Amino acid sequence: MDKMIFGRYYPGNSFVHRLDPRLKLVVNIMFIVLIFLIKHWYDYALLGGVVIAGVLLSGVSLKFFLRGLRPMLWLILFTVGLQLFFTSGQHVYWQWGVLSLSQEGLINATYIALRFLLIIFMSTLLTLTTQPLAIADGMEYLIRPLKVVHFPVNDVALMLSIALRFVPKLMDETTKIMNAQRARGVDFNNGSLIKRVKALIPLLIPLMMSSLDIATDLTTAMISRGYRDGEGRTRYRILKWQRADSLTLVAFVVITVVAII
Amino acid sequence: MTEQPIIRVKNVTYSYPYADKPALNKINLTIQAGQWVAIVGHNGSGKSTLAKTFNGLIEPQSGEIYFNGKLLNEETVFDVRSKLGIVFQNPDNQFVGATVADDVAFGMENNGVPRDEMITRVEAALRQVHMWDYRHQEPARLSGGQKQRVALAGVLAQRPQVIILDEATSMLDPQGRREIINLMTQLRQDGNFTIISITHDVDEAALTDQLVVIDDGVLVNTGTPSELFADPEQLHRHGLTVPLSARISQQLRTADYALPDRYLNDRQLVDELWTLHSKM
Ligand SMILES: Nc1ncnc2c1ncn2[C@@H]1O[C@H](COP(=O)(O)OP(=O)(O)OP(=O)(O)O)[C@@H](O)[C@H]1O
Ligand SMILES: [Mg+2]
Repeated sequence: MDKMIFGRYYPGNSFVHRLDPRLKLVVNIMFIVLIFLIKHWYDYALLGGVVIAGVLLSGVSLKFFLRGLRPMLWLILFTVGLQLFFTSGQHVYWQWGVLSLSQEGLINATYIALRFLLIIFMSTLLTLTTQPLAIADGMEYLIRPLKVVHFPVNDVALMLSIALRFVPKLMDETTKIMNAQRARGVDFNNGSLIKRVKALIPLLIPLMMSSLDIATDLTTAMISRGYRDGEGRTRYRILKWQRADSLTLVAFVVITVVAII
Repeated sequence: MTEQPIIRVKNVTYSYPYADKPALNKINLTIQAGQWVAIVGHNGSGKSTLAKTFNGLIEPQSGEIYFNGKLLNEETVFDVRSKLGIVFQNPDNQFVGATVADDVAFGMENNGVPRDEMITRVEAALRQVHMWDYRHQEPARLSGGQKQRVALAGVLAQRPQVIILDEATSMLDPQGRREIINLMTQLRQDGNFTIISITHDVDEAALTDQLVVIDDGVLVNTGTPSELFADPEQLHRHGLTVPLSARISQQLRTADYALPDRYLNDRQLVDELWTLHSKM
């Protein structure tokens, strides 16, 4: 249960780990945009090189990256399959009704697969080397300009960081309730699909109740510690932009320019 | 102690929405600065509700609260919250920060304390509760007693005048409970805090200067622990257990044995009995 998306941080102190979360977020966003702009194989090679460099610098073993692929595997196979068999082209190798396998299809499918791979590796690099909370902090900085349009940036950031932190707690709570229900003879693992879904209902209701309890307690604690809204708040934890961050950014901008031209 | 009381509760009545009887019924109470006060009463008697009126978490339907002589209202409430800290019962659900140090800083962040100042105060507060070594840890990974100490540090960092512990030790094991109670005793010695303990623990209540007994939203009695423990019958009627030693002392006193007029815990009672015995 606790090996879910948010628990993926891999503690370490590598170059990538030490980079500013804001930088890692910005580079990720730029990277995704870039992936959709490039057209040539050598651009893919360049970006592939960037990802490989990142993976090596992070010091995280490849198997954790591959694990990041797993939840997306079916989506990738499905999309690649679509490209492969539904692209019409000049050089058709094989045809069966609407399905055809052409050279163009093959090339498109390869590119699509590469795009997926590169994007997933890059974002996995972010989540593996950055604590969820640092990501939330980084996001807060990045959405700060929205303050101009009276978007409650501080509140949203706090909400995000609390939500992230309570995920493991809710998991614990779920396990606890599941065990309590098991002790009463509920079977979560066997029976027809409908039966199993039904078994989840006595799980969801107590879970919702206990979440509400936690939320009420937490709100009470926050209010009595003087929380109002973002205005006039100071910050204890701050992000420090360093030389390595500037250099990485410059390097990435150069790569972007090279790839686009 | 003739200066104005730090907290004055005047005729406060409060009912929760849809409740058929008030949780607080015309409460009048005065708490002097520097005192250690225990609020006792059976489950559901209204202790937590009363504490929540002190910092405006709950707004009474009638009556007033004065903090340092100033009426609690929308303008003064944030000032009061920075000077009155509460440690709650459930150690798990009161952490906002991701690390111990972060959490301790939360209250100060809300009050706009400059960062440099926060850094020194976080360290001082964590050292005071002996949790400085844990500053980078996630609060969730701490033991119950450690969690409550961190919560207490969060309150201390705000430099409060009043500290309220709402059954802060009730979910702890005896060891954790002792840690917190020792800390409170120490704080009382070296700071000028007013401490309000909401507690079911008679031994903790016995340490205080003033006991406030609440039953079904009504303040039924207040006095020093020895005054109140002297009448175990009455406490019993309000659903409170009186320590065995207090009951024995009471019986002995009515049987004309010369026991001192204050509350004696088990040890003290045994000592007194030996003294009596040697005089016989
Ligand atoms: N959020 C709420 N909504 C409605 N009623 C409430 C709420 N909180 C408490 N009550 C009711 O108000 C009364 C007083 O509750 P309160 O929590 O103040 O008691 P307490 O003395 O702190 O009890 P305990 O020793 O169990 O903590 C109880 O009858 C309780 O059921
Ligand atoms: Mg209570």
